Amino acid sequence: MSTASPRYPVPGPDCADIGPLLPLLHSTELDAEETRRVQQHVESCAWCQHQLALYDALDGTLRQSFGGPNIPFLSLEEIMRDTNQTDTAPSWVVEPLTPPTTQRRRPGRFSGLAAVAAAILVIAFAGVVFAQRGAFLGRGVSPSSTAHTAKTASPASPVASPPPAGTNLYYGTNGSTGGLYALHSSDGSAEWQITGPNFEIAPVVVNGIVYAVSADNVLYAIRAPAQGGTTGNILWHVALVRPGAALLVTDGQSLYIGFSVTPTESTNAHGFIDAYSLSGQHLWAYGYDSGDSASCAMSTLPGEMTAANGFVYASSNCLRELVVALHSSNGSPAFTINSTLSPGTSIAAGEGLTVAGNVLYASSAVSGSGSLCAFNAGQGGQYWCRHLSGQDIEMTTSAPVVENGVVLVTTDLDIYALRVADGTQLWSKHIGQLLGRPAGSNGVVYVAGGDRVLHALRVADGMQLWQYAMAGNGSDPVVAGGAVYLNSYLDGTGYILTALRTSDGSRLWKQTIVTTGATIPVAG
Amino acid sequence: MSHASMYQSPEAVAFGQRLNHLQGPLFGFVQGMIGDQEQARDIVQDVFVDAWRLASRGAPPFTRENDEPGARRWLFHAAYWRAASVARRARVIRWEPLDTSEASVHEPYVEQHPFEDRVIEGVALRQALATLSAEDAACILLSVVQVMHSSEIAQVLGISAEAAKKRVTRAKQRLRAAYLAQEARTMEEHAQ
Repeated sequence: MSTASPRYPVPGPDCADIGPLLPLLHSTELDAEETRRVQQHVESCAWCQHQLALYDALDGTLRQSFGGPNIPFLSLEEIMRDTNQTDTAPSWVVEPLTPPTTQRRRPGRFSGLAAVAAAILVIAFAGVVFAQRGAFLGRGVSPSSTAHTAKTASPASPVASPPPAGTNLYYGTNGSTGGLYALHSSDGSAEWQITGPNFEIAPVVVNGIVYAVSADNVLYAIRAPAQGGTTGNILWHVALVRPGAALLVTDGQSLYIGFSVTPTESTNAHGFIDAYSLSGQHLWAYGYDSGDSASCAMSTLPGEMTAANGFVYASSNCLRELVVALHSSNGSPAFTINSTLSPGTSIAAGEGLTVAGNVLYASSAVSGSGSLCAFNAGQGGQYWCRHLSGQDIEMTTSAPVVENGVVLVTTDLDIYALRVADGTQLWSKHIGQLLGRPAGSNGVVYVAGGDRVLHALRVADGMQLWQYAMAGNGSDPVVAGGAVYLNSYLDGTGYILTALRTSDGSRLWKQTIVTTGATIPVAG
Repeated sequence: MSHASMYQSPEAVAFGQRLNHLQGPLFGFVQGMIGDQEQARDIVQDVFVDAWRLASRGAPPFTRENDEPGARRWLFHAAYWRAASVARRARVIRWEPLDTSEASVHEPYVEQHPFEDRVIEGVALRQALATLSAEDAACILLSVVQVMHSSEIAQVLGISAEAAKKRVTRAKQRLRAAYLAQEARTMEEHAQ
């Protein structure tokens, strides 16, 4: 009789302690004692030998795959030439604008024969763009679809009720189709565009004028063209005083641009905020100097800078200052909101900021747990601060949104609803995928997950009213005029811009955007 | 200063050597973070354009003193911010829920694949890497491929050294889990 050894190795009692150290064994991260302890364990543990072999195999393939090409693809001449080019305004700006060539569509009349006519116009429009730039802008309008993917809690309305006529959607793109585009929100048809530079930051709209920052550091003010025109009317453009723009926000009075910069020995600034008037005049600059080059950075994602009530608020991941508030009139510091955390606690970048009334809400995540705090937006005093007990909170991914007396925030996996008055948690919902920034309207909050599903939840109790299966990955929903707009990413091909009815999630229209990158759409 | 005379300057010569030496590793790093080669090239080019602006003024870290580690950190830091911004905007990140402490002792045993499957493993690894957050992907690439210590990774990512070390560990655990899931899916497809 023989004793059969188990086919597969099984973990021993010490494996739970040693396991977390295995990924670092063949790096320089472990000290001598830790290294000795791990090696000693691994020698006698088949389970950990297997784990280590897999880590080593992954490391080997990583080095092989991402070591980079040996043959240089950039020359010094190219770099110098590009430097000279981007130091000046793009030449196309001074070119005369293209005269109207196609009839602009009237919003709100999209059915039957009109749909066919619209499709022809869009094809003609794409042809004009193709002729101008040698690039294909989009795939035209999809007026209807038999593959309705919404699952509704209530019967769908038999007749679509599109958003009010006159509302537009604006978004920027990069790559070969780089530009700024305006669509009719009622049916997704193209209204006008500016092509040439890349626009990688979401634009803002003030009084019908679109303000946008291009990747080559130029600020534009653009108005819709005269009746029938298809090229946006550039009112003015101005070269920014520094490169690296990452955010554009407005309070309706001025424009505020957030920059992420790399500190140098001569300047320890990690970020800048520049203010411009609505006529393009540079008003003031604020350099964010943390004094700690190792652990601070100005946050540069949407939702991490906002302007309201005479202040500009920006978040950082510094231990000392979570939020900096500046007077919007001159950029002078008004107050800072300091961390109450113990020294040495690491804070993930990405604190989300939202102002509602005279309350500033700031969400942040610290070493495995998140928090949402409410402050006096004029003085910085704390009203309340609540812990978010999520399953895996490493980085708060959203700015909070306030709806019907409830403040809602998403983390990596969960959405939370807290009462505005005192921060009492009303409900939370575990969705289990990377969540984007929520949007709220009429008592409903909309949030899209990495599972390609948009969830419509009732703000009062978190009940799911409907959900919509997206064709692409993720999206920060935008709500305007009775519709939810999604810009979901399709692997390697582009984006799908979709409009859904807020009442039941049924689809109003869908557009495909062929581009390597697109901003979230902005309604205005 | 004219184009030609700048090209002959010591700053330009030093910068040219640095460009040749570091553009490959920088490209690999960015490509690993965002997946797209064309965008990765654009980002690397933009980073070097920014660097040249500093170098042509003799600004730190691109001074005549040749602060090689400082310059390397600056370039990776600048590339990281640009790539992370692109990755977040594109929402190519997909988060795989994982309790890492549990995973190390409860995951099924998987036989090692023979060497001839290495090409397939490379594809699966890229797909697994794409499921990680930009920060996790950056930590892994800097630690494993660029052989940076957590203190250096911390400077590139703008976080504390302690957080960087913890992040490298968790990111590698996540990558392993995502890779195994990817492998399982592939094997399932082959079996059908």
